[in-house]
Amino acid sequence: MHRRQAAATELWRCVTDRDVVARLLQRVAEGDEEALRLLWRENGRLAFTIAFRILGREDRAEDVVQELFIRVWRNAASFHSTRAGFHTWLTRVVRNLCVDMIRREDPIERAGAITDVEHWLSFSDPVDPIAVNRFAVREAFLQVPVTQSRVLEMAYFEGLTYGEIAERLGISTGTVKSRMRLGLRGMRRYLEELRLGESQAAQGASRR
Amino acid sequence: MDRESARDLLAPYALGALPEEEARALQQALLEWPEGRAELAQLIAVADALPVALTEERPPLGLEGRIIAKARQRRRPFRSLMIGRRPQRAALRFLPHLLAVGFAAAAAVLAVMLFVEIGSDGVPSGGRWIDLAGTDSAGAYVTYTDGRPIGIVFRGLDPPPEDRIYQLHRLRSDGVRVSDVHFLPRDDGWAAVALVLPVDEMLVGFGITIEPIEEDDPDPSSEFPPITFPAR
Repeated sequence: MHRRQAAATELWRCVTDRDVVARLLQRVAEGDEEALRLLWRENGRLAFTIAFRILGREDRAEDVVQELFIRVWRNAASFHSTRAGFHTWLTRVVRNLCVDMIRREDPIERAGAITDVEHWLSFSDPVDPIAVNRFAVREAFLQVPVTQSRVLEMAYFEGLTYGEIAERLGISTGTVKSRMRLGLRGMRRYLEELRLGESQAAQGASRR
Repeated sequence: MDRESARDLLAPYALGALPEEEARALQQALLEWPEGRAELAQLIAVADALPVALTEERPPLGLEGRIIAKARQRRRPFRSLMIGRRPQRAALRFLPHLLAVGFAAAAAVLAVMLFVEIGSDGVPSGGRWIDLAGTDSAGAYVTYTDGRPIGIVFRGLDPPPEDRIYQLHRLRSDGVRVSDVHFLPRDDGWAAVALVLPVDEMLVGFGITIEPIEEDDPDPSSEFPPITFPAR
C-alpha cells in the first residue's frame, strides 16, 4: 500500500473515534492536507448547506466555504475542541461570514435568496443518527407557531436585526423580540421533552 | 440597562439579530447577571441547532480540490512548541524592524502601566499569576478591569533568536484566534502588553508565538500552548 494511502486509511480510522475532531485539527495544525480533506468531508456539506441557504447562490456559498476552511487550515492550532464544539464554531463562523457578505451587498441582489421554509425543512431518513437529530430539530422548529418560526428564520438565515424584521413584517420591535424568545424557548422545551421521552423509553427497555 | 430590557434582548442576541451597540450594552449587563448568562446559554444552544434542520445541499463538484489548492497557497499552520535559539543572521538587516517593535513594546508597557496599579514591589495588583505552559519558569500575570482582561505581564521569557519576535494572540470565546501585538521581552525576561479590545469581544484566553520577523521567512512559527484566562 502506498504511504499516502496508508496514512489516509489510518486517518479515516480516526474518524470513527470520539475525539476525531481534536485529532484531525492537531494534524491540520501540523500541515497535514489529508486531515483537512477529512474535516471537509465531515463538515463541508453542512457548511455549504448553511451558506447556500443564507446566500441563495452557489458561487457565493462556495466563496464563503473556501474562506471557512482556509481559516481552519490557518488556525487549527488554536482549536481545542470536541466534535460538538467544532460544529458550533463552524456553523457560527459560516453564518457570520454569510451575514457579513449580505450586509455588504446591494439589496437588489439579495432578492434571489431562497426563503421557502418548506423546501429547506423537508424530511430526510430518520434512521441515520445525525438525521435523527435533524428530524428532532425540524420537528421542534415546525411545532412552534409560524409567526415565531418566521422571525427565527429571518434573524438566523437572513441575517436581519430585530428592528429590520419589525419593519419588514410591519409589527413592533417588542413583538419581534417576544416572538424570538417564545420561539427559541418553545423549540428548547420540545427538544427537552423529546430527550426525556427517549431516556424513559431506554430505561424501560433495559428493565425488560 | 435594567434587567427587564436586558432579558428582552437575550433572544435577538442568541440569533445574532442585535445591532452592535445593543449587543455591547447587553454584554456589559451580563457581566454581573449570572441568571441572564444561563438563560442566554440555553437560547444560544437552540439557535446553534437551527442549521442542523436544513436539508443538506450537495456542494459543487471539485470544491474539495479547490479548498486544498487554496490551502497550499497560504502560509502553513503553526507547528508545535519549539523554543530555543536559532542560527543567528545579520542583525543589521532587522534593525528597522527591531526599532519599530521596541517602540511598540515600550508603548505597550506604558499603556499597561496606565491601566494597572503597580504595587511597591513592582508587581501589578488586581490580577493573578499563572505558569506559562511549555516553559521551565516563565509566567504571565493577567490584569483585569470590570472582569475584563486588560493587560498581561510576562516574566521569565527567554530572548527570542535574533530574527524572531514574540507575538500575542487573543483566543476569542467563539474559538477564533486573533493575532495581536508583537513584543520583545526586556533583558531580564519581563514584558508587558496591553489588551486593546473591541468592546464586544469576549476573550477566553491567549497564546504567544515566536514569529519570524520577515514575513517570507521559510521557517515555521513556533508557539506556546494556548492559555485560558484564570478566573478572577
